[in-house]
Amino acid sequence: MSTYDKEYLQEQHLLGKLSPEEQKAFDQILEADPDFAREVKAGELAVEGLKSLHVHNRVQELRKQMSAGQGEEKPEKPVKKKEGRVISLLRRPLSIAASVALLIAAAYFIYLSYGSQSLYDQYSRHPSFSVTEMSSAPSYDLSRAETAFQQGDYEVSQTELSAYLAENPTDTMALLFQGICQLELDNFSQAERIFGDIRAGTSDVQEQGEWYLALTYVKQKDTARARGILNAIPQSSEKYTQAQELLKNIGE
Amino acid sequence: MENNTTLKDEEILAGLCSGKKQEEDRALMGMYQAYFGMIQSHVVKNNGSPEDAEDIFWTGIEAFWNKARQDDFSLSSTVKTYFYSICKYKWLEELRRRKRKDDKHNPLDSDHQEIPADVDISGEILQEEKYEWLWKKIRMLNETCIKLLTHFYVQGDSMKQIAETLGMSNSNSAKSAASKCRKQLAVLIMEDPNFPV
Repeated sequence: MSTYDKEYLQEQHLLGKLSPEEQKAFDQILEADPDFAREVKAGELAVEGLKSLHVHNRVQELRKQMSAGQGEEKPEKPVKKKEGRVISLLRRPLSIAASVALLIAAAYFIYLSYGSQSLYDQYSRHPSFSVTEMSSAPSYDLSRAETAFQQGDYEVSQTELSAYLAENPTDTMALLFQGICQLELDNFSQAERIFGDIRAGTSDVQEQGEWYLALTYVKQKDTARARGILNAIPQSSEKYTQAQELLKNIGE
Repeated sequence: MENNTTLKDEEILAGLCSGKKQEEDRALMGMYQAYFGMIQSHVVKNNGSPEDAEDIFWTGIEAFWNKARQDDFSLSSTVKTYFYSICKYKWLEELRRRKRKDDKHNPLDSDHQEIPADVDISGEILQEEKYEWLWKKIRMLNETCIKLLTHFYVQGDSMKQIAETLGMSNSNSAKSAASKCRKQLAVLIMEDPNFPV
């Protein structure tokens, strides 16, 4: 029996689609080949894990929906776009009262623009998305991911990056941008996992991964964990100065 | 979310095992509407808060769903009885855990002492530990691998559908990526000292 046949049989077994004849052949191989039997057992556990994780995620999702809207379908999350503010200039003369009102409004505007800006907003200055830095990118059209990222359309960007990463799972630069998209979309557990993986590795973007892991906690207002990561950023890191500054701000 | 009238047991089970979001939601909403009040009343009557009731209801749903999707699952009672038993068991375990923690006695009413014999919830805790262990391994994969494997093995989507959903070039590249991802996950599981074989 060739490897291909084993592979096919294993897949049909995991999908519960073996015909009686195939089942017979499969059982014979399992008996004769302990290594294959081991692999099949691991495959069964993998599928078991995927199914239970799906159940867990779906239940959590529904629970969240029920708590938020008593079961009503929430509208789709709007695409987050960071756009520049447009300030129109008033040219006609103003009365004193109007001037005072304008001053108050201006102060409020300044407060909204800077005073209320979260720490995350202050520190999340993303690197520019560069297709050329991605290892296998020339054979893959990432221009949509790039444009969407630059426009702040992280949903589209992450979908494009997902497809690319499926075929290039070791491209850490693409993973970094995938993580940033997840973070911007508030998919914290996914962002945390991606940045955690990058941080644990030795790639060129390891320091970025570490920094973004800290920002993931900052955005969730989990200051204890953010501190833990920021304190661990070494002096040699390009992010050290920013990390120290952020640490001070967290402490305020 | 669609508002259901009462669903039949078979409809609930079929929905939960469909792998399709819309059908799953319909079944889950049906269970919520039919059984949440019953579970809340039980928990609150037995020293729990409304928040406890909510926790127990949703962990009960998760346990029930995991049971229902198993190949060898057969329902010897109604969904209502089975689900109620799971939630009673979960709440009893929680009360025991709290009792152990602060060593204060939490009086349980007589209704709370027994779990119907036709409901096998043995191994529940072990099962949860196994899931946690497996999820840890799954979360070591990249996001696309997880999506790919979920679409294929959980939702039963074809490679063509998966390639379209995930924006991959064609079904062959989806198939090859799925195979790589599954092998990667299998290796992670086999390398763990807790792997049972």
